[in-house]
Amino acid sequence: MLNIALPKGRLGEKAHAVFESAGRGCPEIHEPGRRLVFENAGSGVRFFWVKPSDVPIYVERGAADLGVAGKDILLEHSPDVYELLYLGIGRCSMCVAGPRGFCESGDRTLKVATKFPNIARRHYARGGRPIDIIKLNGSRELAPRLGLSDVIVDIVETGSTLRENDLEVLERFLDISARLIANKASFKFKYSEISALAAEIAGAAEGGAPQ
Amino acid sequence: MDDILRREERIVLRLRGLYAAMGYRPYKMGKFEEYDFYAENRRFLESGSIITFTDTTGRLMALKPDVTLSIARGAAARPGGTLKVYYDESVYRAPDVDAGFQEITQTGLECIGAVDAYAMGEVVMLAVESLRAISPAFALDVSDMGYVLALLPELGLGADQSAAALRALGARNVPELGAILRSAGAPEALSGLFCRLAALYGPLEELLSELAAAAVNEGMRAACASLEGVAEVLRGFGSPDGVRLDLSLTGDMEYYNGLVFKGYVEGVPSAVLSGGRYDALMRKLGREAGAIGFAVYMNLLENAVDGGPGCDADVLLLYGGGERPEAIAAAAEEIRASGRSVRVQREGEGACRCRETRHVSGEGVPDNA
Repeated sequence: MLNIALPKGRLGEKAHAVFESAGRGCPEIHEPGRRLVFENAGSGVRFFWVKPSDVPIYVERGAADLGVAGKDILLEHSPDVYELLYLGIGRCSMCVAGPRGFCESGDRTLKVATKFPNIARRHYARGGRPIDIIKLNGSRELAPRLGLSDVIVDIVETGSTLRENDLEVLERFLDISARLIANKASFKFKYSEISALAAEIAGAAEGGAPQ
Repeated sequence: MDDILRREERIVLRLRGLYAAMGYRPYKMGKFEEYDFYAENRRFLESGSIITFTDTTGRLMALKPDVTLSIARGAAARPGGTLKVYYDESVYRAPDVDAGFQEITQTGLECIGAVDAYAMGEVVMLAVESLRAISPAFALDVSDMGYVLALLPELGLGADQSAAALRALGARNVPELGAILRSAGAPEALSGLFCRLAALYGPLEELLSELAAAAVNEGMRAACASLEGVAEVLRGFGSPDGVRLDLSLTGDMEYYNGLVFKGYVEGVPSAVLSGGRYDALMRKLGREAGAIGFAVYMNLLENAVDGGPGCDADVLLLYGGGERPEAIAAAAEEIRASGRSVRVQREGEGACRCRETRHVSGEGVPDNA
């Protein structure tokens, strides 16, 4: 039996659809309710819903053998896990965004609001730009409008939220997509199960999994 | 007698016996050392920061963060024959992410001096047997860093791209590795080979021929020969199972070179054993010598496997308060003399886990007494 941590929300639903198209889904997961654990003994899989940023923790600590996590979460937390597959879903970009027509002043520290302080810090460190990180957990788009920050570093999918808040993408610096990750010890002890599942998922993801 | 030892203590006892049986001598280490030495070799520690304090003369000192560094420094300062030692020590670090301090208990061994194919095979065999002493379900992954490091120059990658490729390899991230190689314009055939090697995992003996066939230069062939040497020695030791080839294993090149290995036991989510060759560290410390060793992280085993609810004693002996102390002592002594352990306590002093409950004044009492 493989324990698989799925990120609660849209990405998790898409990820489950990939498992389903590989014949490894769990039909009960579609039933409305608040259950968090779903098992399909016939397919040898047990899914559970966790907060997206917690997926790498469940996998790194071995509570889940496998998990689905966005590259943004993996880069931010650098968990010690294997990254086995690109799932071809959850595609978006890590961007710097600011007010329309924003012109950066190079003579003072740039104030950056973000949910991803490590990614933002590494990005600006490459250019040697001094920044002041403001960690925000939600509504990042508000920060530049209220003067809390000059810019935001955030994931952008279509850009409509930015446009609705009078912001625009200033720089796209990282492609993000969802990955299948594995616990290192589970990989050793459930090698044949995990590699068989990964091969099936890879086939399904390439074969036009729902976007 | 075995009962009074905790599980980790029983394992340590077995490991010490295992190492001593191959002629390794115990090594006792001090707890404090001057900070400068560790500051210079900060990257040798895979994780965690050094805990420092000033001594009574104002010197900046460190609580030992690692055993291997200390042994290597001692061996570099006193060249001579081959040093074979084992240890069982606590080291201290400040974790990278959380606040507070961390005590890490390590048991392991080092072999410094003339390290040839036999010595490497012996150390790998001892690593396998160490894991077996912990759990019958184990895996020891081995690699030779030289294999991948010799392949890298053939691909024409820049320094940043090489580092990124090694990171992707370490995470078994074949799609990313492929993307890095494509963007660097690496030759297609070699890129394909690298990606296939990154995904390789299985018994060492079975994959060695595949590895040898894929070698495209002397460096890769030398790494293969080194792994073949280890496999040959292991055959002499009765071909222990559980040894697998995993090229995704890497270490810091400033310190490690050649053979690297990591061990896992079922039930523990991360590697419990880590080791490899560190001639490069010896060179940095000023001595040209071979060096190889490994450590078992005993603190990771605390929550793993077996155990079950233990007992405080075989018999719980209760007294009401009215008895003469002499009578209580005599009753306790009688049980102890019968070879069973006994816990004596006044009635109503709280529950404890014992197989049987008795009262000083009479026979056994029901469990719910």
